[in-house]
Amino acid sequence: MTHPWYKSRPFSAWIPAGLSATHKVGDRKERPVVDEAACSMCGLCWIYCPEGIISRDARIQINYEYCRGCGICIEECPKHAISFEDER
Amino acid sequence: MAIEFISGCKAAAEAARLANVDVVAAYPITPQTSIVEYLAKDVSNGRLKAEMVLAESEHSAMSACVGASMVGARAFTATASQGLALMHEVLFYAAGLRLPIVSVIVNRSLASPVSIFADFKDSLAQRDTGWLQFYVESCQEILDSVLIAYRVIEDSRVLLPAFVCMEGFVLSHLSEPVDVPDVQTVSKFLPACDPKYPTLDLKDPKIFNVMAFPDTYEEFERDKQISMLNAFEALQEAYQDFEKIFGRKYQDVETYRVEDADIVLATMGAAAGTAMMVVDQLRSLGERVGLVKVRTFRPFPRRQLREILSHARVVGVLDRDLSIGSTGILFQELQSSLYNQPQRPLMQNFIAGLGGRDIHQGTIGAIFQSLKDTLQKGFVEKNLNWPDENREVLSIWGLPVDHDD
Amino acid sequence: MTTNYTIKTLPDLEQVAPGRSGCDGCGAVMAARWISKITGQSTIMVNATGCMCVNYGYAGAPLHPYIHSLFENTGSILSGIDAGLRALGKRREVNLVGLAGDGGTVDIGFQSLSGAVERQHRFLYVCYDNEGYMNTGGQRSGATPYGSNTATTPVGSEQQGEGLSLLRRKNMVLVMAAHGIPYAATASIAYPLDFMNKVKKAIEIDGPTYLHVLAPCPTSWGFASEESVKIGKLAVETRFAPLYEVEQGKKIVLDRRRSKGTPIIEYLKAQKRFSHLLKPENQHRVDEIQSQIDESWRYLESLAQE
Repeated sequence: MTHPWYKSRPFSAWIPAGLSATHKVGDRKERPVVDEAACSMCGLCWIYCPEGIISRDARIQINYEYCRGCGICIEECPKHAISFEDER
Repeated sequence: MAIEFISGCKAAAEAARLANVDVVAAYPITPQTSIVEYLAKDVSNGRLKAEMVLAESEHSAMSACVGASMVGARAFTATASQGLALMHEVLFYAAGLRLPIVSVIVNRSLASPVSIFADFKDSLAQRDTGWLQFYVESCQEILDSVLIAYRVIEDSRVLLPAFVCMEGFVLSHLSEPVDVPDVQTVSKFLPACDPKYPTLDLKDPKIFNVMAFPDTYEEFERDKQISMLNAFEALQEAYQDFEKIFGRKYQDVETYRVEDADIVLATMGAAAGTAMMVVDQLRSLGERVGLVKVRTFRPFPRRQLREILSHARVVGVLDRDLSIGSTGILFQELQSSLYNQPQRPLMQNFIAGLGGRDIHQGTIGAIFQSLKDTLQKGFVEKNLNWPDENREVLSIWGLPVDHDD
Repeated sequence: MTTNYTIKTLPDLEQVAPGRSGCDGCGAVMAARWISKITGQSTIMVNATGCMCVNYGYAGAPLHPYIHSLFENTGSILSGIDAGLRALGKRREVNLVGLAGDGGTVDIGFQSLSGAVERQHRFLYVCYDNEGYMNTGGQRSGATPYGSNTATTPVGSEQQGEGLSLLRRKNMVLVMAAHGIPYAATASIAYPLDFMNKVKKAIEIDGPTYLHVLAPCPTSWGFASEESVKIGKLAVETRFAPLYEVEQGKKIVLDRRRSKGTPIIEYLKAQKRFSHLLKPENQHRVDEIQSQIDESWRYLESLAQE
């Protein structure tokens, strides 16, 4: 019983917003890797990523703690700048 | 304060207005309709500042109450019969989200066959949903009970929704003198709505109605159980304050001439008034009889009822309901409450008043006669009795008159 | 007010935390993320029972207030929240959003949605249509297309998947238009800017608005997780799920450019749920689907005429 929401009454079934961040991806066969030389910073991978874990500040960065390796960013990159690399 | 000559429905509407409800969500069903009509008029002429959600069904009306309550608004609805049955699923949901919604129930039986008249089956069928349930006897009691209900269920010890139940037509369309308090006096008893439960708050975002796995689900239920039992304490405090402010006294279990009674009749709702007269008549003939009216059905006042009833020798339970295939519902609750007492009365169940059949003095008289016979015999011959059966119909249909539970 | 987003001007801030549950490549998850990207921190979301309450709700992914409603009462919970916020004088600060699958919209939730729209409550309702009860293992719904192999319309010797015409499905945008809804549109997970600009347009309206989004489902439709966008694009291009908007229940704007009329077989052959249709003996069924699509396209075109 370590969950914070169990500590205050009334005990209705709620959890804090954003709690999912505690669930990191365990197993993934391959990870998408960005070839920065080929990347045009168009942002399509950033917007298509279902997990919302690609950032687009100075460069495209993928948060591998949460990436499930679905491959949508690879498939949708118009410059073919993202490819899978084996995890091992 | 002013004494007004108003119906049960009007008393319910006046109570909602005095409680300054924020949202009224409802769907019309006989005999509940005029409650919502009165409130719509109040909103239309500015007497009440509230949003009306004239929903497309009772399921949606209750859901709208949930939505309103989830953002911290005081929500009110009223329904009956089929409408309450349609709400069934949402009732569990509202209770689980710990939302203090009040619904007035204008008790009416359920189809089929169709009947628009009173019995308690509609609200008693909701007894396991986690809602408090109050059964009232007069138009005054309707008004007072709605105010008491809001005060108790918004208490942080309780935080569960509540029904205030009155019998359709018997009370809803009966006009009586009712003391309608003014807003200022009511505000001394019922503070403005200030939610003490988690809401859909932009500043503190939460995700509601998630899954509970087997390691916690039971404890969620247990917390509701404990909160429901906490209501007794909150109710006692509310009754005391209510008496101080308004001069009217309520109790979860109301008794009439039970102190030295050998025979006690227990019932709920408007039949208690009729039964009181019969008790007086029998007392004047020297019979030691008394009456118990169960006002609070959820939480069920088991301890109080044990204290009151274990001294009696025979207890009759008049149920305006029937759990088909078993017995009356109040009877089940009372019998199980008394079972572990070292000294307990003989108990007999009487089913009457279904589908609006009048519970008249003759019905109650026959019940007391039967209880008196049981006292003399020293055992219960029949658990389940039909004191006002229509023998003509039974005989045409060839149904056995002599059967038991 | 009406300046459209470009990919550069889209807000970077996410309203969803990472770590959600559910399947890889889920189209509904993409749609949900895009909704709250636009509706922002002032979002209150009501989400019907279905895939998204598992993917998002139970996991605690949204960063804004969120309630998992019952299956059929999303519309009426929205109504209550709208009324409650109005009564408390807090309505202006909230973007109220309903999210439900096709089961929660065209089937069990149809009545409460219809009632809420008729009463002109203010909310944006988004239906993510994955064409079946995918959260419970892929059973047939009222939105399941003709020929689709589902858990309850299995392919066998006597039946070849869902047997009822595409044309019998409720066109929810037109159903909403018939309510005189101020704004209703279809959107696609293949076209993010079009999608998010429609969300933006919808939330600026003081009344009910509706978006219907085809949400490709890798798990139950049978395609690889990276192909979701591709499938979504094919659905638009083949006119299986064309893009259009209806304003005030009358003015229909049809996106003819994106729906160029690629043969439907391209869409069907990309998904396992239609694989039985590729057998020679089922060619007539493919032709039927094509003619049903042509017919509904002609109907939409006739509505879109000035």
